[in-house]
Amino acid sequence: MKFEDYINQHQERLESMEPSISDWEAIARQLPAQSMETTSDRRRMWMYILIVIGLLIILLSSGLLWSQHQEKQEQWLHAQQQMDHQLDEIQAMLSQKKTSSRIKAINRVSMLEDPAEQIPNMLLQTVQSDPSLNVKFAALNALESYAHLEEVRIGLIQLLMQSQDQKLKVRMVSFLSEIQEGRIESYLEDIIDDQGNSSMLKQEAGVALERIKKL
Amino acid sequence: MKDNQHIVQLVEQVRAGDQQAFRRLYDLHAKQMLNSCMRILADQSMAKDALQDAFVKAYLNIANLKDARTFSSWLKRIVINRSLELLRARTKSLEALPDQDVIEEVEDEQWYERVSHQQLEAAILDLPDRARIILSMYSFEGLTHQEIGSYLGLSSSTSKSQYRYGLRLLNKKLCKIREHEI
Repeated sequence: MKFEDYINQHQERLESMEPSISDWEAIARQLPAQSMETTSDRRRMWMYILIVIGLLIILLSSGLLWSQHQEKQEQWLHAQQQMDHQLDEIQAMLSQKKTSSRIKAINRVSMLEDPAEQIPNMLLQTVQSDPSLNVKFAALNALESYAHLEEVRIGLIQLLMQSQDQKLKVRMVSFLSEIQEGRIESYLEDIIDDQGNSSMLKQEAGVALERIKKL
Repeated sequence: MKDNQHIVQLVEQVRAGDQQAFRRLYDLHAKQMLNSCMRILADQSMAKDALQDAFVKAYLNIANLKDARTFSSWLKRIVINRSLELLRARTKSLEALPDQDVIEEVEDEQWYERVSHQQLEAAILDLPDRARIILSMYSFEGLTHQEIGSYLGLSSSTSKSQYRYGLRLLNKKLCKIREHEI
């Protein structure tokens, strides 16, 4: 019989050392009192943690998006309020009796960084109805910034045809030809042919007609 | 013989937090493990320390044991590792035994059957560290020379030759005891 086989047969009798009760007590003192987590418990715990982190990320990002949206809406509202305020102020200045105040109002319109939609119409009305020619000229100058708008061009053509003021007409003919408005060509010919018009207006109409025909 | 199904049940109970179940696992394994520690360390007090450390470690890590059916072999690995750690702390390096057959072969092949169990046990404990460890790991714990080699950082052929040398050394010690008796 080989040595290892002999040992295998007699192993229990060869192991004479017995653990004592104090050995277990020493071990028991070192064992934690709480129940242990199993691997699956730990996996479940990590899963919960990941879900909570995921939910927190979703909540935070949606909160962030919501606050950004709110911020944009507040900025837009603030801009709208500012524009309303500006318009009210300009309207108030335009309705004042003093010409200088009304010219100041037009100048202020020209300086606006972000003018309201109503501004071009307000300027056209000023050209049409303000009693002062200087204010009308100032409004026409301010309308240069809006010459790309179709409603402004049409409004100006209509005003040119309706206006009885020769000086205003001279300025408007010059303005419309500068912005290359070809739709006034036949009207310019009428101006030239009309004997009741001033020579200055006829002359300006001639220059404008040549400028337009060159287009 | 330990009932493996019973051990699996006890392991599950321990995992559920039942400390009494761990006490029953201890009762089932403690004697065998203590003797394993003793054969590696050859010191009663250190063997008890190793046993305690190994059982505490087993309790704390039982949740990580993938297959409850392997509890006994898993525990034995912990016990052997802890015993070797303590041995290394005590002895910086295990003294290598000569690879050559410096001790003559003995004609009496059944020499270990002619002594008492107590004499055999005492003679094993009296062997040099490396011989005692290799001999007990191979004969008592049933480890292969490859496994012994990985525990001790040796090649399996070195473990094999050291085992043979340990056997002859043990035989020599037992012969002396018997001569003394006669």
